[in-house]
Amino acid sequence: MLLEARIEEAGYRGKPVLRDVELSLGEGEKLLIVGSSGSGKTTILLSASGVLDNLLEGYTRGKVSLAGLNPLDPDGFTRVPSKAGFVLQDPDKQLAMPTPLDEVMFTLENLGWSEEEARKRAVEVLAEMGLKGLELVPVENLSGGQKRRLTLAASLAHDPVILFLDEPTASIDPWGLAELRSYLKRATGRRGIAIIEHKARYFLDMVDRVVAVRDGRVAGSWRPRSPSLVEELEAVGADAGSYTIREPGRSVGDVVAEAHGLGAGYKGRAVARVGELTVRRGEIVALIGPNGGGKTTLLKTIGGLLKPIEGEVILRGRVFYMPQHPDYLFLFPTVGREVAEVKASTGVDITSLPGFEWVRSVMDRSPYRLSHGQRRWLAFGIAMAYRADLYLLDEPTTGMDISLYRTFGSLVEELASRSGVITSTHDVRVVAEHADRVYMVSGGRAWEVDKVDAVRLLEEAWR
Amino acid sequence: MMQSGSSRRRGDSGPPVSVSALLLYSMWVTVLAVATSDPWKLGFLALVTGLPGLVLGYRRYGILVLLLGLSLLGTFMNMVLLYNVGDPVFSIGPLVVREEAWRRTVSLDLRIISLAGAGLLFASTVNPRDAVRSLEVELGMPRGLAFALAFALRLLPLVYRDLQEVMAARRMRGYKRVPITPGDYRSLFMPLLSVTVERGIWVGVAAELRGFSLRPRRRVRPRLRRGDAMLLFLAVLQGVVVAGLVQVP
Repeated sequence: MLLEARIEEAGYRGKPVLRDVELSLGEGEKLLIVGSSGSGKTTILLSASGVLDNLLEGYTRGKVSLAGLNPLDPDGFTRVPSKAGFVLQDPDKQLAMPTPLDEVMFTLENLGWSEEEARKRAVEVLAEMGLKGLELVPVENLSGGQKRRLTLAASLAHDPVILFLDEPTASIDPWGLAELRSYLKRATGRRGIAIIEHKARYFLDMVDRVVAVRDGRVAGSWRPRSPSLVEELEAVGADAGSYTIREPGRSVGDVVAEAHGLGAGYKGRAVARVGELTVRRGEIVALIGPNGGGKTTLLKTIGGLLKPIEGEVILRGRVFYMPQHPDYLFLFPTVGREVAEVKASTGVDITSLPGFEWVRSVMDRSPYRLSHGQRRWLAFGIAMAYRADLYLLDEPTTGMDISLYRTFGSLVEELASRSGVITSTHDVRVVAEHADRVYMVSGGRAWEVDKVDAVRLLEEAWR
Repeated sequence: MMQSGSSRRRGDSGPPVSVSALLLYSMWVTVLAVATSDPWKLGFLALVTGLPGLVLGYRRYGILVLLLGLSLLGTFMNMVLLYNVGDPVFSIGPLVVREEAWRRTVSLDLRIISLAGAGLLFASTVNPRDAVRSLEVELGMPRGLAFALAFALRLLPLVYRDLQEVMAARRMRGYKRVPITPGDYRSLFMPLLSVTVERGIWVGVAAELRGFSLRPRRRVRPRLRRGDAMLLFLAVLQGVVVAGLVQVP
């Protein structure tokens, strides 16, 4: 066995998160660990790798053997990187160097490779990951999918026997996901791979075993060939990925925004052009397309945050842009002060909005210390309070589990009941279940596509 | 423009200055800028190091340099508010700016320009991997410290991107585009700090999981480059001026 973990209890600052978790990973095995946000699946990774005990203020009671090492012991933990590779959730919280070549060489030089050997191997592994020609490109200029492949390259360059991937789909588009899946499908041999993910459906066809985690315990284990797997996973709170295509048919009102011959970009260079785009009150318009295609730039230009390179945007009413990262929207050290300031500015008490009663229980806490889901939820509350005529949402469902996604669904429908909404998204569910109209943004231009075709395109892209 | 070690791989003839020399130079100017409060001496530091650093920094971190400009304006307003005594120096409409306020403004602003310029000189010309290598291998700096310093360089473009997002979010919430009051600055830096700290923690975890603790200790003798002599000359010149061995007006 490459990994054997018998965790009696593990958690942070004396507060348990995991109890009675037994987990194993054999040679050549691909294991999928699923569960909702807060279920404890990432804590399993942190505990089994020794990070919880050695780097964070956490503890693990039990036994862990990782490629023959004891990662709970400081000496064993120090040697873990020579045996295992780790791909964490957000590439921007993992990449430490300015270029792909530097990033991969950093791993190898840490592990004792000479500069010359490290450079040769880095070039090889970058080519294997489809990053040939991008070795010296600044990391900031890579797309989300390219950054994900770079984290993979930097974790695999030394040929580890175990690879851990923590929510690898969180920041990539369907095309980037297809590249990741392509690597995982090709990965055969001795290496064991553990994928921690709440969107189970992206990996069910390629793993050997699925383990569901719920409330810090293992809720079940399956072979993916089981015919009732999707239903069983959903029964334990995991997101097996089913969705329905809603027919467009919401009643719409007056026009809140229109763009004519719009070129959106920076420094005089348009990265996305759209001939005509009109949004009406009561309508949800989705922008889809590969990372780096210009969706965010288009949103910001429509919202007046960037000047059009060409053409014009006509806004009829107030506009509110919600960034992808909810933390950007918080301006005060406590939730209470955020709520008070929003009330002073808009007259709306967030805690009185339907579905926001929970905010009263966290008024003394820093908004930055809330869970990822709560932060996103609170950011939605702030946005709703401003009663804009047009809402611009930038990848609003990134990293959401199924439960939070359902909450998002009701909130965005609430927004659309009195405003127009444009949202950039890679999430096929947002397009299928909420969008009325869809624009594809790719190759420097944006054009309207049929909604059913868009769903099909997003589905086919990642497979 | 000075280029750091990675440019060698791109086929250039070689960097004119070493990373270690550049770091030591920046630190030296920082010490000098803190050590003196004489406006003429600070002006000399600002001229020799501060302004070139800001010009180089502006090309990569324009908005940060612009924010620095705003803070200089804020310094002036504070000094006028708190220390506006002495003989009149000049007036702006009904506001008469007096000697003490003007002297303190000039001293503090020149010090800020020198400090920021020295930092930006390093940050805008060195890449993180070269920094880790040079600081650790040439200067013998502990690897944790070298990595922290190097990662700070990687953070700058990310902070720049974060700053644009935060400013966009502030606009949505009806805040002034240009921050003026301490409250404005707090609301600007609070989210930036939060995102940066979280990123720093996870990059640290990721580095450990990629064997940073196993990184072998290597030492080589620092190799002096042509530009290092120029840096040494400038460092000595500024030291001499600040020490008062050469009189400036």
